[in-house]
Amino acid sequence: MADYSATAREVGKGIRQRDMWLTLGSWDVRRMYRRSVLGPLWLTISAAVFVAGVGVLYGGLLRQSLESFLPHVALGFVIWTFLSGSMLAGTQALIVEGAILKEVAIGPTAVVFRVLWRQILVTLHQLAVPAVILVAIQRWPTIEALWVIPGALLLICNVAWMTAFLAIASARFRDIPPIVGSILQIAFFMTPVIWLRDGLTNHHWVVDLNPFSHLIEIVRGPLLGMPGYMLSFWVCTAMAVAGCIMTFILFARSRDRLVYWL
Amino acid sequence: MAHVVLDDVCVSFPIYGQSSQSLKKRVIGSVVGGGLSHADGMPVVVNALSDVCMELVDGDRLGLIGHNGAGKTTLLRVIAGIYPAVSGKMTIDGRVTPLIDTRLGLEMEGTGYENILLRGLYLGHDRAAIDAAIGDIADFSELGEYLELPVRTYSSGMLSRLLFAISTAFDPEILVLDEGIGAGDAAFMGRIKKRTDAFMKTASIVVMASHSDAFIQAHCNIGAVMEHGRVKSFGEVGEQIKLYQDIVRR
Repeated sequence: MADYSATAREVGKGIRQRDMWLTLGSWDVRRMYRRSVLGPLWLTISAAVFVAGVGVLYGGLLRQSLESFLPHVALGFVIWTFLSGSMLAGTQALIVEGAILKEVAIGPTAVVFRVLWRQILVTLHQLAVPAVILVAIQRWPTIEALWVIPGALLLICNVAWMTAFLAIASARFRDIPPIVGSILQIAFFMTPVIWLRDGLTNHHWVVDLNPFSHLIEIVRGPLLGMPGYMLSFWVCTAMAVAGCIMTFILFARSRDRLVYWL
Repeated sequence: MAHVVLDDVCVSFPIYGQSSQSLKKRVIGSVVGGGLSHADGMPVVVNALSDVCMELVDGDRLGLIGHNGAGKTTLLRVIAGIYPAVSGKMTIDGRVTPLIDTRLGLEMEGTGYENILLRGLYLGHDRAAIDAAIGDIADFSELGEYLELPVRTYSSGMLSRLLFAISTAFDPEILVLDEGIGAGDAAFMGRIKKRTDAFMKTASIVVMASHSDAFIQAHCNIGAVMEHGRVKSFGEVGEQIKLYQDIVRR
């Protein structure tokens, strides 16, 4: 029943519509802060406030030196926000942004790319916070930090299929957005963003079986020169392959019905 | 050459509403063996189009006639490629310009220029084509410097002029039109009519739905009377309008 070659063509069409989703994604970011004086700079400021507050408080609680703990929290928080923000936006992508699909045949792929691009732009604004911290404490990346490039690509690839999968599933089952919301809330505390894996005396599996901690580690690990991120690379590659295949099959099977669910 | 073929096309909408769009019903349904949900667990289905067959070639101007709920807009959306046919075969050759909702993608906080860009992108044009059309849109809408202001500051006349100018700025191949385009202030009616005529002439195929017999008579050469999601009759436009008026009078 599912037509896989037509689905592949549809994804290709979505990529070629980049004029549309690049413009609409950056338009979304500007629209959020229309008429505010600082504009999208608020994204940077709110990340800075969080990192400063939580970094100092938890750094003290966990008896960590600020020099090692602040970059950990800052990078972890920005990557976590990218992850969770994209997933939450994904659940709404077709329901809210996709209302347009009932008026023009632009296809759902472009809508998902629009949401992804918006989240990437938000993340780029927030990345200023860890960058400033790393410069301030004069912690220069080593040659090993180049692993951040494949790491970031792998992260985006994983976030992309998660966003697309949630977008399609949420259009059909409207309970998925609140489910994802509550899972993400608890997942934040189960993921080493505001604490360190080394601080755990037992229950290391909370980190090791947590896909989010691997996704954060492939970007944060190389930048901070923390060992042990190679395993995370393997985990995330496997997740990306399995997730992309799964999402592609879901899209192929639901493509003909999608617009009727909106 | 643009070409549209519909062969026994059916469209039905599942209505999920209260019954099965929630996971709970699915889970409970599977646990208790479907006893709590609908008899066979299927959602209520509304048949919006049944067995629609038609072929349109270059030069055809089709007017869909029928009362509210007859399936006119649904058929437009099928031809525009928005609703995939649930059964039957269809071929649409050519780029479709859908003008079903003229307020499509309108951002009240955005400036006139930004809205031109957004609308152009939604209609599937690239930035170069949109940039090329901006001069024409600015000229026709006579908005001048207002295009730099947010659309929410426009009067309703200014807004409808802008929307009309954008809608008619890009040459269509297959034009899909719901209700006439171009309402606006009286002083503008003459120019709007002229531009509408020219715009429609550039299209290879036009399909429109309207409650205005005069509009259909003026712009179409074929008519189709629709009733309960079926094409009841199809043929020369004047004849079809008469047929429909007979049905209404009965």
